[in-house]
Amino acid sequence: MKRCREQWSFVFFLVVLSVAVFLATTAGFAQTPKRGGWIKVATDDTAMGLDPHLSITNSTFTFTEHVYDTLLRYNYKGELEPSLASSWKLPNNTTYVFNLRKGVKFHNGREMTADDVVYSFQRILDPKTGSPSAATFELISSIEATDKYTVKIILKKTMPAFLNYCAFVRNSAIVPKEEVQKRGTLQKDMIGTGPFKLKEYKHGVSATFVRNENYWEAGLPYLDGFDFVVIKDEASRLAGIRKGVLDIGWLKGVDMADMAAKTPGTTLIESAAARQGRFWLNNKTFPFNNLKLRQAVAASLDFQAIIDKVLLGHGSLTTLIPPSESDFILSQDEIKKLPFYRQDYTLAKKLLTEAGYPNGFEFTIITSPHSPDYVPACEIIQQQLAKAGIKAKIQQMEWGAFQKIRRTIDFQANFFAGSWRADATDYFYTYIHGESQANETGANDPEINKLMDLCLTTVDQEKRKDYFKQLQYKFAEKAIGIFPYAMASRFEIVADHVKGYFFMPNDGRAYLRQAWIDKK
Amino acid sequence: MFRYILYRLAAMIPVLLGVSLLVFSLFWVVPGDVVDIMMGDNSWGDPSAAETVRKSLNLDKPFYVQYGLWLGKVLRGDFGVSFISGQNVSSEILQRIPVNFQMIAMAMFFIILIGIPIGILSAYRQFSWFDHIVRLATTLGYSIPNFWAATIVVLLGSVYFKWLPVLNYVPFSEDPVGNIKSMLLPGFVLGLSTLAFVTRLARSSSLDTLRQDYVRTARAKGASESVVLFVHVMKNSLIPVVTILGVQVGIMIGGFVLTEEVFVLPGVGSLLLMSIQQRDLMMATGGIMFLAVVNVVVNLLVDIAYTFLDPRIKY
Repeated sequence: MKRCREQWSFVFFLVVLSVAVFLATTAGFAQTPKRGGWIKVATDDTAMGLDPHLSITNSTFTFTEHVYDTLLRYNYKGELEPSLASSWKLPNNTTYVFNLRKGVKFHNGREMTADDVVYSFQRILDPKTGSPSAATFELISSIEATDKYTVKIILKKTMPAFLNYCAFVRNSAIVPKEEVQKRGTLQKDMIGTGPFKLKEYKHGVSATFVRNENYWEAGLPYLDGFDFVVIKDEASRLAGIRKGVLDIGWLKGVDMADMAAKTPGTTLIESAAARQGRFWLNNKTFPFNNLKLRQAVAASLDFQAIIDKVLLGHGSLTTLIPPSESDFILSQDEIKKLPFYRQDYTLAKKLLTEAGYPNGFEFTIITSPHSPDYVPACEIIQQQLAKAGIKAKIQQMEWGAFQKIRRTIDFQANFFAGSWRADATDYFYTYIHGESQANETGANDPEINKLMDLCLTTVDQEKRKDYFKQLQYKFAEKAIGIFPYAMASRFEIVADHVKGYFFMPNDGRAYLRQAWIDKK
Repeated sequence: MFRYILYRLAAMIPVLLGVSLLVFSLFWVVPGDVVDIMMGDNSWGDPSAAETVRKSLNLDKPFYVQYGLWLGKVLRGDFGVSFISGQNVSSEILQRIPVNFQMIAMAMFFIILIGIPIGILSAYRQFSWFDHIVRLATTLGYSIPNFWAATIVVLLGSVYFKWLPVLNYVPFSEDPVGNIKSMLLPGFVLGLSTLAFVTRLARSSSLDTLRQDYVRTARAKGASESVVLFVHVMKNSLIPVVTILGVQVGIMIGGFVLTEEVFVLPGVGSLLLMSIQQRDLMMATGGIMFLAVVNVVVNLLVDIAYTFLDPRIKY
């Protein structure tokens, strides 16, 4: 009898479930996007100029991504999909042939052709332009337009990340030649092929974007346009969201995000955990030119305590690549087992004694209050190190001054966070490779250099995965830098009447192109 | 008088030269430049690209060459273009000035219309409950830092008192009523400490005046209390108040940055903060020069105002 009742209840449960699923799906399908409407979106920083080839900062990208397209693009799951190139082929490992979409128009009305793609890449590569992306594409040996809608790019050697860079406005936006020549640079104006046109730009205040009626994706965008406002103060942005003045706005601080999550009528979306807290050690000078001392510092730290106290739990363990690199990252359990990833003061003491500093040593960490987590994280590192007898002094600096010291490698240790990158190798290559001209840690470990080269050039995905695995292990073992946590770089708050919107893992808002408003 | 004004205006030249030299040397001394900031948390894959940018902005030249180039342009009326946005510095500042004038005007509106009458009344009714409340409120108002007051007003206004006009800035040209509404609270917060200070000053100064012989004479000749208070007492109590107002305008200019940041207003203060953080030398120098000019001019206006308040003062 009892079993019979259980069976019935199970059947009943199935019926309810199927009805619920049916209702949910039909309700979902019933919601056809509505065209029209205007929203207000807030960001936290001013663009460092609008030219997508001259400024590759995230703050510029938040403006340019709505106006410019790239050959390929990412979807919200982080996968590549066609954009200006409707298809592409690799006749061999170093040759890429892109077939361009026909009839795509720039905002000035002219059709985009293969010549524009060639021009855009040439402009990035030209040393006179001074583009920070030039180094990214230095492996390009030739680029030519084989016909009006076909571009052929030949690389000097294999570069599996190449397509990733072709999908990111920060690296390779396609610009119209005549507009650049007319203006010199595109720092003040934006003319691309993207879903929105720039109508008005007030530097440091706001930008107004309106729908590009000629956009190549039929029917998009749904919005008539949107106001993009710069609100630097976190509390003011939060206030704007609570009051309903803003439809979309993001926050950086975890405490702010926890407060904002309670706002009725809104949804909080965390971006992928691509932002890493990075505790870089200067591998060239005392004390961290000594491997044992680097290891001793790593062994004295408890990363979970930093995540719990500084990030209020909004974080995870990381290696030299963040968890968002799902193809290559180790699992959290595997990370816990990496060398020197568990706090072990006995081991730390042993390493210190072996290095000849049984009573510890002193060093200075430089950091900046630029982001809310930097200084608190350093303070916890300081406390944890003190228990092993290592005295860390914290020196806080203004962001610009900090950047200068980073550039000139005039530090013993520094702490700041890095954000999302187009390819997994970007998280470390330039910082620690012995041959990198911008090596800012003084690291030059032959074993690690070799592994990085393999990660950079191996085309076979399975082998590449294996090299990444080895690299993560070696990086932890050699403690070249110590990365205590990874977290979402932004907490996006979206009003519930904004539909069809996804937040990108790279903090991008590209999905505004298919957002629409459902307001009664 | 005319000669005096001319003399004062001429005296501005060394002041401005000094200010610009100071700004340039500060930018020179402070580590990090605009090219460092441009990279953010990225890394220059190729340092020569960074050098190309530095060269194009003349940042590779020695200090005196940079200053000379800038000064030469300024003498021709060209304040240069922003390193970052490429926007013309003077047009960018001119565009933002109205917000600041409006903030000061709103603050002055509160200070003059509320602060001075309350101060005088409070002195007239010394030791009454009204006087006690005024003294307590002004002490409070004077002690609250304006960034704190601003944050509290914005947060309360957005959560509990949704009718309060915060974060709704619209330019005057688009919606005059909405604009004035949106500027009321920023103006009040900006002027809060000055309001409190001026109230106290008006009170103590009136207390002094009320005990003067000519006030007794005025009463003796049969003038009504309101005439005594608002003609004889008020005018004579205002000299220290006007002096202080001049100084306070300088302090309020210092309050621009925080008030604009919190209330999200597009004024010169937020422009200045942004340019300093971004090491945008041209924009920052332009902004600071502008504020220096305003300060000097306000002081001049205060000096001129004395001649109207006290006929004994002549230039």
